[in-house]
Amino acid sequence: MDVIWPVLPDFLVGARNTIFYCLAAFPLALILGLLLALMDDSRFIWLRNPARIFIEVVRGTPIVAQIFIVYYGLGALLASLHPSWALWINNWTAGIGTLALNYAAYEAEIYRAGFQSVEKGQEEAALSLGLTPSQNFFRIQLPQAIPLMIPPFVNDFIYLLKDSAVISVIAGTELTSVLNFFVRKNASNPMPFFLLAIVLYLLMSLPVSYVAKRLERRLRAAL
Amino acid sequence: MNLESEQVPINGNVSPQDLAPVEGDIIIRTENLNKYFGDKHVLKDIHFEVRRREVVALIGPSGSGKSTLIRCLNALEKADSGDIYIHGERLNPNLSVKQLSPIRRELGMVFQNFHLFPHMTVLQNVIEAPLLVRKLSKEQAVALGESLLAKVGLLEKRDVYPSRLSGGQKQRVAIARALAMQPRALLFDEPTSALDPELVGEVLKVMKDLAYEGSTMVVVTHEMQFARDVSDRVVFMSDGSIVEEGDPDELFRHPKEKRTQHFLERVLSVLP
Repeated sequence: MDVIWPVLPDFLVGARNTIFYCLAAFPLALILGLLLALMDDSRFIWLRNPARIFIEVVRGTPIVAQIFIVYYGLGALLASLHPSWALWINNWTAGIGTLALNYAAYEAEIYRAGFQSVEKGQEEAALSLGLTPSQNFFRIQLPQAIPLMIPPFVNDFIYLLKDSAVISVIAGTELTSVLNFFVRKNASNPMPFFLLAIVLYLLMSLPVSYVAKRLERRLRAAL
Repeated sequence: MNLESEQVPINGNVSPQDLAPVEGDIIIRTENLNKYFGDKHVLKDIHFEVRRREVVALIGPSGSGKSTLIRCLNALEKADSGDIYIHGERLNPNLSVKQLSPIRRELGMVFQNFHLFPHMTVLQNVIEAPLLVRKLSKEQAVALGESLLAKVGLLEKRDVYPSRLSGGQKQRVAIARALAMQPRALLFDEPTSALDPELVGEVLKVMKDLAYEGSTMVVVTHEMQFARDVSDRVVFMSDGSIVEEGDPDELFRHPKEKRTQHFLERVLSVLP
């Protein structure tokens, strides 16, 4: 315990930043994911193909590689276009951006599955009443698909909490980078720090999974 | 003249057939309609016409193209060739969904499996399209919805979700929902086929009332008694073609075509 108290404030800052990263990245991932799902479902091949390629590339490559590409690759690219643009890429933007892009690919699949599980007849009923495609989408399809999508979304948010540790490789300050710092400083006795980090991760993810379980039960009961 | 013929008071003694068949009275017409599912020719040169206030029963064996025909009328299926006119206006199947919307609302559709919106109450199901498409005010829509629910005998279910209704009640709500758009004609796609036998009667009763009020209806059905008692004209389809059509009594008693005879023998022999 004596080793824990002095470092606790630093770890709490790390945990707080982890939450910040996730709270910023996840809504972006939800919006981008919906966009990708709609592109993937489009009649136009020039919308469908880029979406499909993006989804497959993101899901088929490690997130560590992706964050390096965004942080160093995109940074260098922007710098070559205009020197001041390189300033746009920092720990925060690269971290949030990578997490959002990575998770967008997974959320797109959840949207897709959600829309597919809405019965086909719903669209026919809506169209035969004269509803336009956007009215059908927002009034008929989306409200029926969302309850099915919420449990997997919440689940993905828990994965995101843990995956945000990848930001430590570009020296962003979050829980895992704080952990790394103190482990290196106290290489002879790192175990208390590992345990502290694990407890903090659990304290963040357990409430979310508790809410997810309750939501899932409620939604099941409603169906 | 059209206008004058519309003014003719319809009393109980005048059947729709006695009215002058002017052009404006044709609600639905198809010419040379063809439809393929892959290699399968499911609609073969269909000429089909429905006049205002007419009740047409479409009968025939499963897979004969009856449902496909009425789904083409609403552009839920795209015909491969031929023309469809809804109240004189040609239905171009290549229009976008958005452009089809004003034409589709001219015809109300009642599905075999109801397809009520499960996330809306009964009343919301009925008033959704009037609010969004006809742009009625909330008060107007609710008044309309309540009167239609009263008509199908389900006003007390207005705030209930569809999952709480029996099949017969669901179908009656679906009929009210279609009526709420005040379509020129109602299309029924086997409206009682998904129902338990004891629930069929309540749905047929509502449809009968509509028919007697003078609604224009096209009913794909296996209910031969209904076809015989309620319809003005029966159309028998088999293998993608209209084989025979005519007055219900005449067609049921003296079918001219071999295929009609066979079909009727088969379905009528199982009737009590």
